[in-house]
Amino acid sequence: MYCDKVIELLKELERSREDTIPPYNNDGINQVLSEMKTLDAEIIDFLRKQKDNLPLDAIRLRRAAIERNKRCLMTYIWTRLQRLKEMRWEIGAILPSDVRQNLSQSEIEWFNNYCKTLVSYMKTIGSDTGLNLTQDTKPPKSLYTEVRSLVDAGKLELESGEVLILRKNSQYMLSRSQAEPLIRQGILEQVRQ
Amino acid sequence: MNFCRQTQSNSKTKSFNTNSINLKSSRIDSVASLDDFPFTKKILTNYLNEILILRCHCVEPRRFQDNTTNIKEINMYRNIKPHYFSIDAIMAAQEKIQCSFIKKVEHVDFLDSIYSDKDEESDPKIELPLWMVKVFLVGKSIQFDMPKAYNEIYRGVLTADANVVDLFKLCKHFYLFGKFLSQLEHREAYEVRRTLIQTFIDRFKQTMDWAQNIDDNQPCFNRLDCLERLIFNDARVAQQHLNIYLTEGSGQMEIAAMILNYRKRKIHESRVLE
Amino acid sequence: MDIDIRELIDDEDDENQEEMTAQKVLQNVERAWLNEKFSPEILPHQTDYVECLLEQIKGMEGNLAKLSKTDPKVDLHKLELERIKFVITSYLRTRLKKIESFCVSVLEEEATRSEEDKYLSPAELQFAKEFALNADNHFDTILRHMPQLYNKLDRNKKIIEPNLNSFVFLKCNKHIDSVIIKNTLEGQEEEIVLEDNSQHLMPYSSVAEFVKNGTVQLI
Repeated sequence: MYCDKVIELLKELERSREDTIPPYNNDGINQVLSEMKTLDAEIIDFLRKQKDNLPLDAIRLRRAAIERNKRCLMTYIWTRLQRLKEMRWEIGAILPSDVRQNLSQSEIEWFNNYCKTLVSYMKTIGSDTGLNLTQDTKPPKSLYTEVRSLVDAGKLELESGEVLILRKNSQYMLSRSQAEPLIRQGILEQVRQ
Repeated sequence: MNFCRQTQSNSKTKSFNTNSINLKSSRIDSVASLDDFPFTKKILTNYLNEILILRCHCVEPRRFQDNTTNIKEINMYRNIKPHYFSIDAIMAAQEKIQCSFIKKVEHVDFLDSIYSDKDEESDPKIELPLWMVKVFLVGKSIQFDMPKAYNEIYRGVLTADANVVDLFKLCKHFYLFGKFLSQLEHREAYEVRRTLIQTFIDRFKQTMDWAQNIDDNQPCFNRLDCLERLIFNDARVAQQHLNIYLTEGSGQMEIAAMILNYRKRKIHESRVLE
Repeated sequence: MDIDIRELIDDEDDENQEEMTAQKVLQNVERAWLNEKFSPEILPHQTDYVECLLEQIKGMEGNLAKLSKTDPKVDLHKLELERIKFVITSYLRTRLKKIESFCVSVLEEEATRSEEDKYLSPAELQFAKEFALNADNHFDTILRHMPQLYNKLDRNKKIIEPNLNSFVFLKCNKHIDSVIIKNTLEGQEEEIVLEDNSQHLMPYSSVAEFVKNGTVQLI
């Protein structure tokens, strides 16, 4: 039946997780485009052959099928753009290669242009270098957190310029921003309240 | 959260004539500061929005057609239609409807089969997606039966107790497909509209209870239609925001899993050496 | 945490800054942020306040660096600064997301507004235009392979508009005699009075003008 192929394309998107982009289905898209062309040719054929007593239902149905194919294809493209856009905010301007290889040439171009547009907008905010809107996405809760050193890690220079000596099993108050990478590396652990 | 329940039952009885709620006079004033309660806010606004949209979709279609004085009103409601790129709307229009042809349609290959074993007398039946049915309705070549989920029997079941129905199984896009159907020319369209609104209202409380209270909610989630799923997920997210807000500052920072695994491997290796 | 930001501002600066205090600017930005967060449509931009606040943040950071490190106030001020920065970025992010979602309609409406009445800042307008063009170019790579009558995507189709009738929570800053709620399909209108300081839940469309002139605060 008409439009079955394009619905398959959309189902492919529906099945994938929203934070991923499945491979760009070039073959599928070409099949849909050629179905559209066939339908269009058939309509033209009807109009040429029968001057009167046109098969109106048949023509209407074909027109509707072309429009529907078009809507679905556009939706396929549009939905992928939405996901790609989300990635710019989550991951940044450099896409991992496994994402990149699922994109079409035009999608990569779109992404690069989007990055450019976004950066030039962010540069205009404030008086000097601009404001990075992809940072500060969570409301800050506290500046400091209590941590325990798991190893004799030695000297740590604080943001204030002071130097702290981290000894195993001692507890310290550090700024969250400074503590977080050290916790991730397993040098410190956060003291649970 | 008792308060939600009260407000819901409140708006349930009033939902057909209440257009605004004064928070002082209703029971919401038991909540001191509303912006502390993203969950409640989210579900209330979602509820009211969907009801409004359902009601707008379910207006008698002719109101939109022949009443030229109401242009403004039509403009007010144009934005609640699903937009062009909505996958849900596309999929809902793909749902099948059983129909029979009044006139013979020629030059459409896949329709030929229904005429081939013709009995002349009995009208041949075929299942077509909604968007095709709409095409044939224009030429008045077709008539259709309300699909199972919306026929008299199921309307009865839903009216009796909408909460027991597995809506997803019945029809994945129950509300959206229903909205589309109720806009078509059909003698039962009005009844379908009423059932849609009532079903949504009746099931909403249960959906929100699930979203809020049941930890393993996959089985419940599976019984919801697409629209309900969206609202359910919205509520879950809002609930998580609330939880984070209430346990402010206790977000634990933890060691990266990669490093933790590396360490375990090292410990294991050194033990083996000893 | 209530910190008087005025403490941090140089006196000389104060003289240049007309009459608006830092506290007042911050309040304005916070209000704009909440309104923007909860309103379905994009609201008139408040770039002047944002720029002013960013300037002040810069000044405050400079002043903080001069303070003694043992001063316990330093940390409180620092946290407060972080909080303000979050409000600003969140406000601008919210606006960008709306511009992206409703790009075509935002641009069309903006074109009908007079120079003094623009909703978008010049930079936002530039962003919107480039965004729309970029999307059109991408769509076109597929559209141009479609049959002739169908190879354009008309404006009516690609337009996505916000639902102006969506319900919002609001607080009234000033007594309003008459708010008209039109949403009844039964054809009736309802007129209500919003008392000073009262809180309500109603469709955005009924109070849109009051949100824009500041009589009503979305919460």
